[in-house]
Amino acid sequence: MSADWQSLTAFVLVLLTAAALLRRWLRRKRHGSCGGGGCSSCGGASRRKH
Amino acid sequence: MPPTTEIAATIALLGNPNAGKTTLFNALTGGNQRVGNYSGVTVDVKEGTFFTPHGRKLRVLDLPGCYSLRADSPDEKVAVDALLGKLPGAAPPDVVVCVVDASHLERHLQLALQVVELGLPCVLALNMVDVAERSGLRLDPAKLAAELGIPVLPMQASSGKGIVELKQALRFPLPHAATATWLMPGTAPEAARRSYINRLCELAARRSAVHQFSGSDRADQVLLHPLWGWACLVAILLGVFWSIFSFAKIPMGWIEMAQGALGAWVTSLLASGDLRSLLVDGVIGGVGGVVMFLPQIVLLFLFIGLLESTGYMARAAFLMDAIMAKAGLRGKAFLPLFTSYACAIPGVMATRTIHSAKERLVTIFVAPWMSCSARLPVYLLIVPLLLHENEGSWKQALVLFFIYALGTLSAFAAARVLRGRLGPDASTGHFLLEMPPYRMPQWSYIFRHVVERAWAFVRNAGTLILGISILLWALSTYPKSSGGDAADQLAHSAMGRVGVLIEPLVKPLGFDGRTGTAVLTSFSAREVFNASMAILFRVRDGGDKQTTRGMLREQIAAATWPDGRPLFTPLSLISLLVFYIYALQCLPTVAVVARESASWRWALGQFTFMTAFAWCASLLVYQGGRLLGF
Repeated sequence: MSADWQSLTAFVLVLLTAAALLRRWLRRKRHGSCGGGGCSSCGGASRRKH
Repeated sequence: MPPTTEIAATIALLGNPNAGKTTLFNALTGGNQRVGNYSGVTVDVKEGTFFTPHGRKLRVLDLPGCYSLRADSPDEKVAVDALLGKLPGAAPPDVVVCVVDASHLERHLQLALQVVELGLPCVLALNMVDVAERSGLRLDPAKLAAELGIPVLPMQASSGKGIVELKQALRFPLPHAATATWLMPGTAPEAARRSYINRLCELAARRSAVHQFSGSDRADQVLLHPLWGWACLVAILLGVFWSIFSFAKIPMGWIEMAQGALGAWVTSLLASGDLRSLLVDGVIGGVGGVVMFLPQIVLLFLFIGLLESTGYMARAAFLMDAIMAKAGLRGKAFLPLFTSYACAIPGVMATRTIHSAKERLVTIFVAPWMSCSARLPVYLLIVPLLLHENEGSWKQALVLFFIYALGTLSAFAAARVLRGRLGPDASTGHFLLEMPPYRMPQWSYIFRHVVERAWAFVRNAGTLILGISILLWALSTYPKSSGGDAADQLAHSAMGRVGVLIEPLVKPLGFDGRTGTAVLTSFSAREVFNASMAILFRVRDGGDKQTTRGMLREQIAAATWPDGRPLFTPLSLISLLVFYIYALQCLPTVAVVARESASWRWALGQFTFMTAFAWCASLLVYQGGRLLGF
C-alpha cells in the first residue's frame, strides 16, 4: 500500500513538473530570445537589455 | 515641495567610453548596472529615475560611450539616436550631462563641445577629479563654466562626491543651451574645437611642468612588458584557476554535508519506494550535483569582477592585441570575448562596440568557444577524475588553464579562417584602447554583482535543473521492468532505450549510451550533465543512496562496459572535455546571436557547425589516442 501511494505521488509530481517546464518553454518562446531571464549563468544580464 | 511621481524631465548621460557614466548612473539612481574600469561596458541605453533635492522626479538615460557624434559603431549609433530623439517612442533629452574624465580633459571635451553645437542644454560633469589632481592637473571648474557658458561640476562618482551638487544643478528651470562661440565662419569645426580646447586647458586645467610618473605608469612598466607582462597574465590566470579549485573546498564540503544529511533525513522518513527514490536520487542527487559547484561560480565571478574593477582588463586586451591581429581581429574584440568567459550572452551583446560589421560577425561566431561559467561544473566534475585526485592541486589548475586556452586559441583560429573568407572590410578604423589608471576595486559593486550571479545560479538550479532532474528520474525509472537488478531496470527504462538508440553515435567518441544521454540532456543547459550523470550512475548502489560529488566520481570511475572494461579511461574523459569545450549547448545564446546578427541562418549555422565540430574533435581525440596506444 505504501509503495502504491508513493508511486502515485511520484507520478503526479512528474506530471506537474513536465507541465511547469512546458509552460516555461512556451512563455520564453512567446517573449523571444531567452525570455528575459538570461541564460543559465548570465545572471539575467540580458534581461535589462531586452 | 512634496515629491511628485510624474517625470518632470529626461536627463541623458553622455561621454567617452570609460568616463564613468554608468558609475554616475548607479550613484544617481541607486541602481546596480554593470560597470568596469575599461571602455565598452555599456552597449545599450539604460533607464532609471531619481529625485532632485526639490522633489522633482527625473528620468535618466545611461548612453553607451562614444568619442564623437559621428556614430561609427552600433553602440555609438544608439547613443546618437537617443540624443537626437530618433529612438522609437523617445523624445530628445531635456538636458545632456556630459561626463568627462578630468584627467583626459583635452580629449573628452571634444564630445561636450559637439553636444553644445547641437543646441542641447548641457551640464559638464567633471568626473575623477581625484585622479586628475593626483596626476598634477590644476583644475578650475569655475573658469571652465564661465568660458563654456554651462554649469561645470567637479565630482568623484565612484565615492558619491559631487552627486548632490549635480542634482542641485538639475533644478528647475533647467540649464539652457549655450552658444558655440568657438565656431567661426571659414574654419573647419574640428580645428575650431581643437584650438578652443587648447585655450580652455591653458586657462582652467594646467598641468605641472614636470610629468609625474604615477603608480599606474610604474605598474604598467611590468604588466605591459612584452615578456613580464605575459608572465604576469599567465600567473594571474593560473592563480585564478588554482583558487577556484582550492578555496572552494571548504564551502563545497558544507554543501555536500547538507546534501548528505537531507538525503539521510528523507530516507529515514519514507519507506523504500518511488517517491523516496524521486526525492533522494532525482531531486537531491540531481540538483545537488549542480549546486555543490556554487562556491566555484562565486569565486569565478569575484575574480572577473576584480580584474574588471582594477583596470587590469584593458592591459590584458593590450597584450592580446598582437595575437588578435594574427586572428584577423583587432584588440576591441578581446573585451566581448573575455566577457564570454562569464557568459556568451553579454559577450555577444558587447560586440556592439566593434566598428567593422564583418569583424563583429566573426567575433559573435567564435564567442561561444570562450568557456563560459556554465561549463565550469562539468569541467570540475571531470578534471579531478582525470587526475585521480580530489580538488585543490596545481595540476588541476593547469588542466583547467589548458581547457580555457584551447577554447580561446580555437576561437582565434576559427576567426582567422572566417575573416579570410568574409574578405576585406570597407571600414579601416584604428584600434584605440583606453588605458585607465589602476583603481582600488569597488567592493560594494563587486559584492552585489557576485550575489546577483550566485542567486541566478541557485535560481536556475531550483527551477530548470530541478524540473529536468525530476523528468530525467522519471525517464530512467519508467517503464518499470518486472524483475531484475537496478541495471536491468535502467536498461528497460525510456532513458535506457534512448541510450541504446544514440550509443552508435557516441560510441566512437568513447561514451556509452548513459553518457551519451547525459550529453544529450545537457543541450537544455550544460550543467544538466552533472544532474544526469548523478541520476544515471546511481544504479550501481541500488538506487537509494544519496549521490554526493565524491561518490558520484567513484561511481563514474567504477562504471564499466558490458564486457567489464572500464567505461571512463583518461582518453574518454579527455574526449568528453573536448566535446564540452566546443559544443554550443545553450539555446538562449543561439537566440541572442540570431538577434544580434539579424540572421537565424547565421545562428543555426553556428549551432550546427559547433556541434558537428565538437563531435569530430572528440572523435579525433579518442580514435587518434587509441591508434597511438593510449
